[in-house]
Amino acid sequence: MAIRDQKEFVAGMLFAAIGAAALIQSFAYELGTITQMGPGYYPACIGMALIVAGTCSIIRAMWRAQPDRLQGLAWRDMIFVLTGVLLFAVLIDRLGLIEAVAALIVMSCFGRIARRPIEVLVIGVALAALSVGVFVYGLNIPISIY
Amino acid sequence: MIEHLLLGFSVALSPSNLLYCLIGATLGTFVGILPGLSPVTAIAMLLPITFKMSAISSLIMLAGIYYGSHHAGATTAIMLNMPGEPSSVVICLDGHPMAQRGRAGVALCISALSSFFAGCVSVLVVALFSPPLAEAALKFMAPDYASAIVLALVAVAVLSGRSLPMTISMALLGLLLGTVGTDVNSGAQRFTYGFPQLAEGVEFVAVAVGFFAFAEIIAHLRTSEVKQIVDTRVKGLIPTRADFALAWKPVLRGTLLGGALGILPGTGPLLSSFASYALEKRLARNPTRFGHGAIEGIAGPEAAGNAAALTHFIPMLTLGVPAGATMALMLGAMLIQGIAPGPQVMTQHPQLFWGLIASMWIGNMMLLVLNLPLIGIWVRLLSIPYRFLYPTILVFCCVGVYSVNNSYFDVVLAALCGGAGYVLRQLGCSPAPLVLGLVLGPILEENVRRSLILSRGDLSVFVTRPISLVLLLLAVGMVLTFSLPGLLRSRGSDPDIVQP
Repeated sequence: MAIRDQKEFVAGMLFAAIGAAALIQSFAYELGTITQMGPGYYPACIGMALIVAGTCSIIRAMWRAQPDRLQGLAWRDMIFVLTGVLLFAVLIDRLGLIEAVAALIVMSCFGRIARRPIEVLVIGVALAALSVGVFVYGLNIPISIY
Repeated sequence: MIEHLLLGFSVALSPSNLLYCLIGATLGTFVGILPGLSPVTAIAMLLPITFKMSAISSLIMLAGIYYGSHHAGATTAIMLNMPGEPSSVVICLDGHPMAQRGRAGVALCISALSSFFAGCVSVLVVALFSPPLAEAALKFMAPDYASAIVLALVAVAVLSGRSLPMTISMALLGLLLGTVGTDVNSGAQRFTYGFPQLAEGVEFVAVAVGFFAFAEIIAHLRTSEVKQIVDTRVKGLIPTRADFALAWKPVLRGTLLGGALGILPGTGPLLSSFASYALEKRLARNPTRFGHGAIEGIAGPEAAGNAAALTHFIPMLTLGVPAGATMALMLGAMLIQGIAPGPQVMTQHPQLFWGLIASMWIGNMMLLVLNLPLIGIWVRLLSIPYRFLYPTILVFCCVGVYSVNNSYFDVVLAALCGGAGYVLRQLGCSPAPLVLGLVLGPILEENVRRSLILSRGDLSVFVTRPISLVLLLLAVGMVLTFSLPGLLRSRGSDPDIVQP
């Protein structure tokens, strides 16, 4: 039986898996009883509900008539943007706002650096200045600048 | 009520609050005009900044962004056949043909006036209905709250996407994320895996920014830039008497329809504007005019959309239960300020409540000015390429998220949520139910626990209490109504939802 609605199928598997993981993990916390709920009770219920919902999605995906093929993910974009954000996180405490913003801009505009380096530079400088102005001076947020 | 309104106006008319209202309305218009930026993203992005502001100022500003963006989406819909906001899709149908016939100015004027009228009426509705509703809400006990939250989650899930199991799963995922941290009752650490930064739970702003802003940016990066030759000259703003004659009844109907639909959880401006369009088409003497420049097709939906945007605040302000993702973010803003949302907000923080209502009215007036005379400026803004916009959003989001707790961990969290949000988006899952689940999860658990303790483990307490029963039946009703296949095909989705 060909799975036509691939998106929902994958999503369903994902949710069911997360639900199962949550359920298993909540056993490590005390479950308790219904009147005296331990920490694990509520997450366990959610986990079970997720498994049910995920299974419903899987079943639905299998008999749905409308095909919905998986589209590719924009891996490059995702990696560049998220690496930029992670670099920001790493640099902001260790170095400062300006370095962090610079790293963020470089990573998120990586594709353009070769073609339009000046544009990226201008954006970087402008945003660094703007963020220092707005956040450090305007809002008095304690961030080291460099 | 008069004293309340006077109090509200005295708060809203203070110079700083007027400024924040203007900033909010302007930002909202900006966000509504630009197709690459959604109001949810803007609000999520600005949440950390509101930390430094007073509670009332932050709510005024964020509210301004919300209803401002709904006004502005119509501008691009009319001028470029491109809705700036999902709720303005329906305005394209008759607005753009009018522009093509040289009547753009009239279309813009009617849409702005309809919005304004609906806004004024809705503010009155909010002012009139909130106190009795809050009083009724005071009678809510733990089971009723739990059922109200279930209804809100179900409603948002039902109207969020094409597959109910998927949206419910997103809501459940949000609930699960909400359990991370220290369990209040036992002190046990749940799902923290040794990270001390998670002891207080997952930072809501980080998750919101990640799922809405970052995921959206990743998804939009490849979109080709839309270069349109924009005719910024808009001549002839004043509509004729015939136009007014055609428009006034749709405006009234739209206001009523939108006002009513906006209060219900899950629905919002999008559904209201679609419903109004359908209604006007049904009621028109000559329905074939629709789609070719019928004024009713603009007046009604615009009124409905704006009315819904305002009454959307009611459940959040009175019950403390957000009716959609944007309201969940507003709730987050209140929590950041240390205000526990619920029916007691009205009595304990009257300046907040009435000040917000008064500022909504002021904001609507500001929007009238912003949208009509300044239209040329806004339309010119449309030529900002996305490649300048997204780095700005990224920087502001990163610094913003960091500044909430001065914690790099939150930024990392936002990045992870960005990745997860993007993947889920591509799979067809919208983030709104998740954010709602995250915000409401702990409150739900608390109330369920309390209900079961009080009823000594008797689950039937949720159906024996009348309020709780009604709410749960509504939830079941929504599931059944929207699960029918025919309805699934024809319905749109909530504007608070980012479309994959």
